Amino acid sequence: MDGYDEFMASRGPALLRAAYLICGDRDLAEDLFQNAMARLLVHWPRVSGGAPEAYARRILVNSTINWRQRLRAREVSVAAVPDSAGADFTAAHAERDEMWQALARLPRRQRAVLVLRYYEDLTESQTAALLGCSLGTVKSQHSKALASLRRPASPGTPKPIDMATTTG
Amino acid sequence: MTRTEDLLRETFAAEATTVTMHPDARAKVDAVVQRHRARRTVTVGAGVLAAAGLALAVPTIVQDPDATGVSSPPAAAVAAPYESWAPRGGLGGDPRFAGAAAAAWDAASPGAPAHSDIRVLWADTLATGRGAVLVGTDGTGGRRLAVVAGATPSLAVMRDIPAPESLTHLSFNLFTDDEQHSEASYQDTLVLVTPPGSGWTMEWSGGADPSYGEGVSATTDGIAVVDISQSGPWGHPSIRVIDAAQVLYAGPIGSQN
Repeated sequence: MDGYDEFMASRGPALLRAAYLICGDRDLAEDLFQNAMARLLVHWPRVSGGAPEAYARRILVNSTINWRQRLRAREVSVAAVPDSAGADFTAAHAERDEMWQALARLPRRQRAVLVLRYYEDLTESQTAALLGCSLGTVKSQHSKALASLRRPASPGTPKPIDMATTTG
Repeated sequence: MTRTEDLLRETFAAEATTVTMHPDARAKVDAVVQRHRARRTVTVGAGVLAAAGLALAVPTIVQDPDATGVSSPPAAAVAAPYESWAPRGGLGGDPRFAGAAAAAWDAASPGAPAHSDIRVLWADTLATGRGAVLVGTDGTGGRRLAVVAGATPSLAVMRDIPAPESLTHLSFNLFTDDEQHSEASYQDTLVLVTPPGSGWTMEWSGGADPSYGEGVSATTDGIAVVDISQSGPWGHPSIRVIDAAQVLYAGPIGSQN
């Protein structure tokens, strides 16, 4: 289809990464990505002249939020921690690992807000528009998510990340 | 910027690099589309057969269930004479909207006498637009039930069927047909209308891929509304109507199947 392949090649990777960051599972992210891109393909004649990336992102993000693990037939593995450093697991890696685990404990909508704000660099208004909710809801979800990340985890969960400190 | 926010950016950036798009991703997308179309064909075919079977088995209870959005009473539930239900929903008591909905209903049958004795069972403004369920008498004296919906300002009749004498619940999707979605609308809105005060709940799941779903919505005043994104649940969503732990109904959402 005219322009679709180019769109998928250029923007697909970024959309796939966003899905992964929200759901935390590579296989699931790929499934959701394929479904969203298939959806986009069906609607391509209608949306290609407008804002196809916004359309695709909205489909993808919302489907990722809506996905319910308990209905899924197959087992979903917990995302593995990237083993990029091997034995040389630096403090920075450990800190990010703790953050990643803390993110996994957040409700998916809160996590989506964080991904959209800190990975996609969307404004609060843009985030609200994409999620189809009010600006106040985004602010609230954002605030709760950060508070949860700063809060010590309950016993049995990985230790919490450091409390936030103002850097300017 | 706090340390937590900095760390969030670093974590997302690092994790993102661990995911790459599969080389045959495009082929997989094609496979998804083909699978969806095949499932949809099967679903529609099965729906027609099921409707035929139900019509033969319980013709006095069910009138064209596949097209009505009116679900046949399951054994455990008690069908109610819904015409006595009070108008519900945020627009249920709005005479102007009721008039607009009735006018849209009349306009859908040009040349036919206007409907009379119209009652609003439910009307509200939802994420995808406005909707109403009406019962009224047509020019032949028969009672009919209609679902009228649309984005502001237009309203269209989505369903217009003979009104059953009683029912357990009404369920419909205001925007299942993809062509009815505007660029600004990315959601389906599933609506469940149950007897007032029933306390029943609704769950939904994707028609083509049951791994999507199920939002559970507690009813308020017998109404449950669930907005779902227009992505995962390809095909027509299915619902379950639940009273405590008992499933009263499980099947396709009514009016669009």
